Amino acid sequence: MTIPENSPHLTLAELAASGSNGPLSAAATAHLDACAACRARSRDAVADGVRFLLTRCQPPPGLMDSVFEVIDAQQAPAHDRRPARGGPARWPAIRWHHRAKRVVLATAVAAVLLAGAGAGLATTLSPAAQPGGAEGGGGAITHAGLTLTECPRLRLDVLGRRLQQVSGTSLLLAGPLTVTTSPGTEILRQVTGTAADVTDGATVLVIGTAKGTAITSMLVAVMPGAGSATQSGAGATPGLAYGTVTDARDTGFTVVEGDGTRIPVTMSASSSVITAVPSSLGELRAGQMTSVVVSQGPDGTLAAVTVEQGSLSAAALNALRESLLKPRVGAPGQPGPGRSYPVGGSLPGSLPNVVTPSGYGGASVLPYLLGGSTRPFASLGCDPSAITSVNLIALALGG
Amino acid sequence: MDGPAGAACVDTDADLVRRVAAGDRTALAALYEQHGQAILAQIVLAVGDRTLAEEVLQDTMLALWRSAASFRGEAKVRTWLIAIARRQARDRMRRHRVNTVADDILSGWPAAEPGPEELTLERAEAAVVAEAIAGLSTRYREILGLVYGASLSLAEAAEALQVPLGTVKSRLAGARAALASSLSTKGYTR
Repeated sequence: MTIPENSPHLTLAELAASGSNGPLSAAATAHLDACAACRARSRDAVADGVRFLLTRCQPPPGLMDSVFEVIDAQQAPAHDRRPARGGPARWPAIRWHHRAKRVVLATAVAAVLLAGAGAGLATTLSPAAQPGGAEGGGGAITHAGLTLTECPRLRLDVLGRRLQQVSGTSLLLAGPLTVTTSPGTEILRQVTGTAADVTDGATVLVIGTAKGTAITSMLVAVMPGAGSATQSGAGATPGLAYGTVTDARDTGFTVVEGDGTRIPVTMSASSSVITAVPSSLGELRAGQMTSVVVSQGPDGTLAAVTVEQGSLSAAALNALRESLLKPRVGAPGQPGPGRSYPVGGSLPGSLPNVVTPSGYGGASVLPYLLGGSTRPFASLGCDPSAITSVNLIALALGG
Repeated sequence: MDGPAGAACVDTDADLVRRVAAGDRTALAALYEQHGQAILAQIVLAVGDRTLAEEVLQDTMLALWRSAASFRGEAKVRTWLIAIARRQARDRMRRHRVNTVADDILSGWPAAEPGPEELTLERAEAAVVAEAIAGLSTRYREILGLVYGASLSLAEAAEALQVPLGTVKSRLAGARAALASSLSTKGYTR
């Protein structure tokens, strides 16, 4: 893409290349020599990315308990010792720790979705889809493309993959990964909505152009079910809102976010509305990107809590993408798509600069904008159907 | 930390390793507190799988317990631990048929302690770079993690990886070039 001529600073790619002895244009090299901010960013940009990864790498509590257990066992009198083993230790305690949390999750989610029916989400993960499981790995599961969502009370794994096939009640997803469904699994289909779907009390995600504290909407996604917005977060990003609709009228509405922040939203003829409707296993289509919230069973199996596919046509998606992700050139001195911020740069003027693939982050950033760098989706109040829908939107826009 | 003990009451990493060699469990726990996160991060970068990495971290701590007496103090303790972790990872991976995808690295990591955090544009930028790093090859992820994450010098990284210093330099340059290429593909170009 082209950076506006008045953009003085290096792009992320140029910043990364600056330390590689690789090709850097003469203009970029000259700018780097003259710009202290870009020199600092050339050091920091890569390091910030690495640190972003590392901050989400806290060892789980209880890990050392397992180590001490093994030490104890090995120091116990000979007749009490575990049998000698040729391979690495299996670490039962730490695995149990993970399982326990996931069992709690499965139970809690089942309780929410099944209205206290108490049905478990029993599942089976095939060995072929369980890379580390069957082969002497002590039941370890290799997550393949799961996004972990940290909620105050629940932990949900969010998955975005193409559906390869439906086999009985199981979904075979690219990876391959097998996820099973149960009668309690909520299956949804995304459809085009109308302004009439945006009613008082509905929970919505709004993406648009910031106008002061208000938003001119480009996309209004009505969340399935009651939804909830128990935490703030979205409002921190101009042009983005997540919350409950109030004062709905023909020309717009107000979003009340989880922390009580009220954001006026204007609807226009170019505003798109999407929503999700109940669907079924039989309506799921192979080859389509599929958003799934899963819980992991004690044996590592993955049980679908909610499943959603988009049903918007390619043309509709393209139109939506085009209107949403149209590059917006910032005013002089303001950030624009594809441009890097100098150290200490401020927030963007509008969200599209953040979500555009040619700007900042692609739509994959959306879950983080709705919760924070370590708590994707947290603004959604740990509502599995809302998380599934927002994940599907992020996937679709990123596609 | 290594180096001269500024305060007599504070154990250096090397002191802690010596205490571990003498059978002191609190020293083992202290080393875990000090380096566990960095080692885990490095293992995840290397093996591309969070669950497997946690097991390797446990293997590493157990190996430290067993082999602390072999620490000669010629390297920083963190460098030495990362080298142990890499060997343990190799052992584990021989037994696992690991099938991972790049987005594991970024998306599969559990969050740290929850707390109110807003994603500023700079964080969004870091997320972009992180995502691109996650898509690099193992050797490139590893070298970026050692230098920018574990804060090892190039010489220390060479020691941890058991490769010549020149290899570390060229690998780091290659990693940045690959990262630049990946970011270009995503549209971050002129």
